[in-house]
Amino acid sequence: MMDQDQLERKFQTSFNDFEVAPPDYLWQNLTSELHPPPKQVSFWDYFSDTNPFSRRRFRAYSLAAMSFVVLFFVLIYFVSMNGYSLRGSVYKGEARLTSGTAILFRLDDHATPWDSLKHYRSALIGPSGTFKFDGVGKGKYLLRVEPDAEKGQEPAFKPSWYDTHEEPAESNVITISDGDVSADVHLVPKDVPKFP
Amino acid sequence: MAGSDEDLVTGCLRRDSISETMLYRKFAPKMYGICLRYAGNEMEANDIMQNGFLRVYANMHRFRNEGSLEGWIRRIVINTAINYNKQRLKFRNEVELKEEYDATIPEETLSKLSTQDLLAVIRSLSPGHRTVFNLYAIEGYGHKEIASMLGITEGTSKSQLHRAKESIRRRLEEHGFNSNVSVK
Repeated sequence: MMDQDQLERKFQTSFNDFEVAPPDYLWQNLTSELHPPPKQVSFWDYFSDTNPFSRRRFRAYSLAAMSFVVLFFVLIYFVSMNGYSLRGSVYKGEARLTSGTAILFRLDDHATPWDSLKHYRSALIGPSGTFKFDGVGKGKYLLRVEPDAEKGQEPAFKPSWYDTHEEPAESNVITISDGDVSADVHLVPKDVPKFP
Repeated sequence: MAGSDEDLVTGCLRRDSISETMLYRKFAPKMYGICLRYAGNEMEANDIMQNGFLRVYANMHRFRNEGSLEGWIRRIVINTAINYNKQRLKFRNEVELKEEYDATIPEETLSKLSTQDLLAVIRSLSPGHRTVFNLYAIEGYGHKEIASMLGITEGTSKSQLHRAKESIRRRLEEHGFNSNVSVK
């Protein structure tokens, strides 16, 4: 007769080297858990990552920012390509003005043009005495030139309206409709003492 | 080509699929045998097996080469089985039995029982009896260790073991043996 310990020993020895082949599908399940297929990340997942400091989110927003900047400059380029150019030279007497500002005013369709002026754009007048406005839309404009002081002295010429007027009411209207326009301005000199 | 355990561990830490496969092939049959002992049926055994090996791979970095790799994997699988059954392990804090029933089983009966028969006998036990019996009689843990693992008292562990053996004896009687019971 055997005692209880032998019952335990019977089980122990029987199961000591007990081996059973597991079902094949278990290993297949394990491999898919251990090496899952790469997750398909949709475009919006890059922006919806909950971790604000994740690399994926950083890359997504950096790419978006760069794209925006590029698009912005592309837009500016095309806007500037649209419309027309208004360019000209500014004279102070026989010589060209070497420093000043050209200011373009847009005329609204009001009865009195001088009451409906709206600042449109400004351009610097360089040493060559020229100015240029690109991408100017169709419409009517008035052009004013303000000379800078030279060598610390008051300019000898007055701010003037195209083509050579002191007041806007007297100014010639520049019409841009179907092509580039050239408009030279001759500054009105300051009052010169009259000799008898 | 079979690699040493150290090579397998190194490969698995690098997430090398070949090393992972070789490790599984080397230890899966024995570990599945353990799962079958702790589970009530094959489906449960499959779940324990899958969860156990996932934990093995996930915790490979914790293997310290202080013992055998097989022993380390074995402990993980057993713990997985215990956790799997935890919800069904309803132990009552029983008073340790003062009377021990010495149910003897003839050698002839035991010798006729195959491993599959013994496995069926173990599966017929309740989850609590089965777990304690496995841990004590087959894995060789003491009652103190079993109590710590299962969150029970030593007394409960002893009584669970005793009742498991009673159940085994009753089941074996169905195979046609007569026991001589004496009370000590």
